[in-house]
Amino acid sequence: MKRPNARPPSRIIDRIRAFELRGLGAIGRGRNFPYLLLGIGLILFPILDPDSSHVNVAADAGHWILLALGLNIVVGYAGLLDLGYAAFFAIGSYAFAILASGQFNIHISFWVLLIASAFIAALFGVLLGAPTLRLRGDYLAIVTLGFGEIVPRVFRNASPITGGVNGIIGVDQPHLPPILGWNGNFGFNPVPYYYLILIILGVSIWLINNLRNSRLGRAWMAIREDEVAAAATGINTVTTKLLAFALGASFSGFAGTYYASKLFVVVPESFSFQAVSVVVLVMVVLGGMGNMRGVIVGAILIYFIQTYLLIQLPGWIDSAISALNIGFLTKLDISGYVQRSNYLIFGIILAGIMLLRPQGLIPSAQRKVELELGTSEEAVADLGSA
Amino acid sequence: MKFFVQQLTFGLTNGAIYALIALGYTMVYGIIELINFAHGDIFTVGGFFGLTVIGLIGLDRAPAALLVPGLVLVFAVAMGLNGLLGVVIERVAYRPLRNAPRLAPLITAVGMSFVLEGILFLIKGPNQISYPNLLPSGSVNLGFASMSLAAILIVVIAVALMVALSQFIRRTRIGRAMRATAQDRDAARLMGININRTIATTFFIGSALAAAGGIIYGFYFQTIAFDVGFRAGLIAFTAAVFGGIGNVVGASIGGFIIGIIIAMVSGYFQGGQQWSDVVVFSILILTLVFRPTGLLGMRVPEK
Amino acid sequence: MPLLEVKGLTKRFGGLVAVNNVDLSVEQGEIFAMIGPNGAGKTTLFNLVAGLYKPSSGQIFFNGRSVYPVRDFWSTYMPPLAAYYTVADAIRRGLGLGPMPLGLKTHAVTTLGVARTFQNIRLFSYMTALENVMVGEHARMHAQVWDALLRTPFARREERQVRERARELLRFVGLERYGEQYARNLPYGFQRRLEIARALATEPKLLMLDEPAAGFNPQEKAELMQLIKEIRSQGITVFLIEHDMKVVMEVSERIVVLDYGEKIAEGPPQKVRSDPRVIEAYLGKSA
Repeated sequence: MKRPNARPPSRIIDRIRAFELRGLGAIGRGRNFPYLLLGIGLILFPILDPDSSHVNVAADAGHWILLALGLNIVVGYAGLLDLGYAAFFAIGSYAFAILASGQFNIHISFWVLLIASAFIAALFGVLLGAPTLRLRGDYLAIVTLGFGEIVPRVFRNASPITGGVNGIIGVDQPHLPPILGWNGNFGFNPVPYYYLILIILGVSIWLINNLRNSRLGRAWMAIREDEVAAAATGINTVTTKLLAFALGASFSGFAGTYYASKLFVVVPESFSFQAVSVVVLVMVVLGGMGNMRGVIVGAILIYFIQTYLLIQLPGWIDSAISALNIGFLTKLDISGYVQRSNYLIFGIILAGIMLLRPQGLIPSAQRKVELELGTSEEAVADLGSA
Repeated sequence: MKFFVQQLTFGLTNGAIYALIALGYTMVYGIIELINFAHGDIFTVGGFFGLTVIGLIGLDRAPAALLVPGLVLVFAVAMGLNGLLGVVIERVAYRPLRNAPRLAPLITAVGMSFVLEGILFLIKGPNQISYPNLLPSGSVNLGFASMSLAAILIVVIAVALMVALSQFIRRTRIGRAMRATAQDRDAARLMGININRTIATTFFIGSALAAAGGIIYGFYFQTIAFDVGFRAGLIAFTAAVFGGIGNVVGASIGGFIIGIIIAMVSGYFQGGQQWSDVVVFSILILTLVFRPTGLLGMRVPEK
Repeated sequence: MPLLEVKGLTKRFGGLVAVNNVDLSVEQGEIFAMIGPNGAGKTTLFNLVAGLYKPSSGQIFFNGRSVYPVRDFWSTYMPPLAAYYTVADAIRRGLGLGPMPLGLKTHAVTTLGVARTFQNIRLFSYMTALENVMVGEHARMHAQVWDALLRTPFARREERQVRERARELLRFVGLERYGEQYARNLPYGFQRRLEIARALATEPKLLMLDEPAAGFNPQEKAELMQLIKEIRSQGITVFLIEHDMKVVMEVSERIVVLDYGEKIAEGPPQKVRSDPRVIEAYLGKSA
C-alpha cells in the first residue's frame, strides 16, 4: 500500500482544523460558551459564597469526581471491572501520610508526593494487573475485589508503619509561597484546597480527553468491543489493558494524596469496598460509563445523595410526620429506615441502570448505540487458545 | 496434637460451610459463565430465613423430641425459600442481560448483592444477631483427642448434601440437562432442553444449598449479621476456583481444603487470623495465574 | 524462499484431529487459495498461522523465520533468550505446568506482517468505519502513553497522518463515503470490505481472507476479485479460503485442497479441478 507522501495535505485546511480542535475558535461560536460560564462560576464561587462549609463540601466533592474519572478509564474506556479501586486510593493516601507527617518525621513536600503517589499507585496497578488481566472479566472483578479488601487490611495490621487501627494523624499540609495577600498556608481553610482540586480536575480532564482521542484510546475501545479481533489487528491486549489499569490507579493515588492532606488524618476504615469502591462504581455507572461529562454528573449526584440527602432526609421525614401527626407512621421509624438505606439505594441504582438504562444518565453517543441495541451475536467460533 | 485436632475440626466445619456456598458459585458459573456476586448474600439471607422459621415455630424452646423433625422443617422451608429467591434474582437481574456485553450482568450482580445486603441492613440493622445453637453438644472421644459431635454432624450433613447433588447431576434427567446446557447451550436447546428452566433449576439448587450453609453457620457461630456473606462469599469463591470451577466435586473438596488452611493459618501463626484473608486471596491469585483449571476442573477461566 | 511455509502442521482438539500433518507454502506475490468441504480444517489452519491457536505439532515459518516454535525466532534475535526459555521450561516442568508456550501471540504475528479477516466478520461494531481502519494502523503507530496523555506535536502529527491514511484505505476499497458510519450499520458487503481495509491498514505482507465472498451476489463477487487483484498488485500476497469455485478458479494462481484436515491436492486451478480425489471429496460430501 503506497504511503500518501505524493500529495501533501492542504496546509490552510489543516491549520483551521487544528485551531478548531483546540477549542479556541469554538468559544465565540457558542458551543463551548456554557462551559466558559461554568468555569467562571466555579472560580468565583468561594468569593461569592462566604460560607466556608459550602466550599468545604465542594472541595470534598472534588476528590470523588477525580476518583470517578479515574475509574472511568478502567471501566468505561477499557471495559474492565475493577472492584478494588479503593486500594489505590488507600495506597496514595498512606504513601503521603507516611512520607509527610509526624509518623516517621519525614516531611517530603506535598507537591512532590502528589506526583510521586500517582506513580506509586500506578506501580501497584501494574503489579496487580500483570498476573490478572489475562483472566476473564468476572475473575478480574473478584480478584480486584479481594485486592481492595486486602490492602486496607494490611494497612490496619501493619501498626508500626501505618498506625494500625488509629491510622496516622497529623498529616502534613501543602504550602505555597504567599500570593495575593494570602500567606500560603493551607491549614484548615477549605478555600485553597478548593482551588487546588479545581486545577487538578481541569488538568485531569484535559489529560483524559487526550487519552480518549489517541491511539491508546482507540485500542481500549477496540478491546472492549472484541478482544480477539483487537489482538488480530495488532493490539497487544495485555499491555493495553495494563496501561488502562495503571493510569486509572494513578488517578486514584493522586486523589488519595489530596484527600489525606485535606483530611489531616488517615484511617484504614475509610478505604473499604463499601465506603469507596462501590460508591465510585455507582458514580461511574449512573453517570454513563465511558463518558466523562456523564461521570462527573454522576459523581456530583451520588456525592450529593450520600453526604447531604441521606443525612438530611431522615430529619425532614421526622418533622413531616410529626407535623402531619399520622398515628401509625410515627411508630414505623421511617426515618430510621431511610438512614440505613444507602446500601439498598446503591444496589438498586447499579442493577437498575444496567437493566433499564445501561448507557447511564448522560451517555456517550457510542455507548448509547452499543448498549441499547445489545451486542451483535457473539463470535460463532470460540477462538480461545487450546 | 489436641490443638491440631481442634483446629482441624474448626477447619472442617468452616470448610463444610464454604463448600456448600462454593457449590452454588460453581454451578452457576458452569452453566452461564457468570460469577454470581450476590451468592454470598443469598447465603446470608438463607441463614436469616432459617432464623425466622426457628423463631416462628419456637424451635429453640422446643422439647428434644421435636428437635429433629423441627430441624428438617427449618431446613426445608429455608432452603425452599432461598431457592425461590435465587430463581427470582436470575429471572429479574440476569436473564435479561444474557446477550449483553460481559460487563453488564457483572455490574448487575454486584448491584443485586448490594440490594440483598441493603434489605438485610434495613430490616435487621448493622449489628450481629444471635442465633440459637440447635446442634447436639458433647464430643466423641477418639483416643488421641476429642471431636465435637456438632462438628461431625455438620460435616456429615454437608457431605450428604454434596453427594445428593452429585448423584442428582449425574443420574437425573434434569441433571443431564444441566450438564448439557453447561457444555453447549445451543446444542442443548436443539435437543429440546428448556434452557430457561434448566438455568432456573441451577439457581434454585445453588441457593438452597447456600441456605443450608447459612443455617449451619448460624448454629456454629451463634450469630449472624447482614454482611457475613461478603467475606464468606469471597472465600467460598476461592474454594470453587481452587477446586476447579464448574466442577461440583471440585467445589466441595476445595471448600474443605480452604477451610482447613484458614484454620491452620489462624491457629498456628501469631496474628494468623489477620492474615488468613491474605492467604486466601493469594491462593486465589496463584490458582488463577498458574493453574486456572483448579484441582479438578476442565473449564479454563480464560477467554 | 516462500513467504509462508508450514511443515507437518497438526492440531488436535482432544480426540479430534482438525489439521493433520499439513505441508504447504505460499510464495511471495501470489494469490493462493485453500478450498475443501466444510469442516476440513481450513479456518483452523488460518487460526494456527495467525497465532490464535497453538499447533499440536509442526512448524510455521514466515519470511524464513520460525514463527512456531517461537523460541527459534527469539533465539535468532537474542541468544540469551534461548537460555531463558530453557530455564523457564525446567521450572515449569518442576511445577507440573507443561513447557513454555511456543507460539507468537496473535498481535505479534500481525506485527510481523500477517493480517487476516474472519469468516463471520469481526468488526468493531460500535466504532465508525474510519475508526475501525485507524485501529488497524495501531501496530504501525509509535505514539506512546505520554504522547497520548499530553497530546504532543508528534502525536498530533501522527494522528493526522493516520486519519489520512485510513481515508485512503477506505477509498481503496470503495467506502470513502461511509467513514463516519458505525460499522454495525453498514450493509453486509460493505462490512466485508471494511474488514479488508482494516486488515490492509496493518501493512501486511500476507493477507489472509477467510471466505471473503460469502453471501455476495455475482456483481459483488466480481468487485471482490478485482479488489484482490489490486491488493496483489500493491505487492501483498493473498491467501484465501473460499467456497465459491468460480471465484477461486478465476482469481487464484495456486490452490491447495483440504479434506478432513489433510492436504489432498495442490497445484494450479486446472490441475486441481480435475483431480479425482478432489472431485470425490466434494461429491461425497454434497450427498
